[in-house]
Amino acid sequence: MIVKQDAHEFFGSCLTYLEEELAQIKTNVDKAGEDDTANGNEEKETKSEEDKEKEQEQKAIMDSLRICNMEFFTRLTCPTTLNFNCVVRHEFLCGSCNRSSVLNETYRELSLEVSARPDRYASNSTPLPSGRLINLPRQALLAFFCITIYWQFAESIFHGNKSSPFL
Amino acid sequence: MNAVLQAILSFDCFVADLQSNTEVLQPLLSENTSISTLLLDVARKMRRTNHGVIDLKLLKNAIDRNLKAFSGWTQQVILLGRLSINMTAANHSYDC
Repeated sequence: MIVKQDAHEFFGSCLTYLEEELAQIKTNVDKAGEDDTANGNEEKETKSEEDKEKEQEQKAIMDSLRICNMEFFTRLTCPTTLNFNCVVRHEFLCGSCNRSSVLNETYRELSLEVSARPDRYASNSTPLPSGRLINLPRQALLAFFCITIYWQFAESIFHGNKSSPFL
Repeated sequence: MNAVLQAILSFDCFVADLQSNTEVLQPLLSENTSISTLLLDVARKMRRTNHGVIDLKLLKNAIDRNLKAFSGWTQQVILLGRLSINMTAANHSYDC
């Protein structure tokens, strides 16, 4: 059965696909480096000359990338992560015993509760949650049912005031 | 797809990050199947003046191969099916 997906899900899937592609390349480059150090320059005799040539060509590219761009690879970050991810610090405070717990979670999309639900936390035993953005995304995607809007944060706005417009 | 691509590729800093990554990783990316290369290609075309209609066939093919839920025309068919059910229900209630 095929599930109905909307534009917002398509947007998320495209970003995930991009993230996975870059992660795969990084893994391949790292793995090639590890294989080189583990196996030395041993060649498998079962491979054809053509395969060996192709493999050597790819290895040369990976080596040059690893050596020339070592600094780049150590901080290789996906544009998706750089632009859309944010970290939210959740604090839960128990109304009865006053114990609190803190949890940092990474989000790509922030779900905003549009309607206030005071009944939800009416009971003292339900912990009161509070969220604070500790790492701002460059772009924030806000989805309200069928309308999806996006804001582009101008970095200059946050130079003077580090607080988030969401809080 | 049109709306999503316009949204995602209108972020200049996203496109700049994509470009810097893609330039370095170019030898390891396939020209016709890599989403990074194809997205960047569309972004470049979008930024040209008088770009006209941009052909998204290669990008759609790459998405089809990797995102099965969005392959082919299945989502449009489902949406049209839903629309048809809703229209039938609306007509029925109007008749009553």
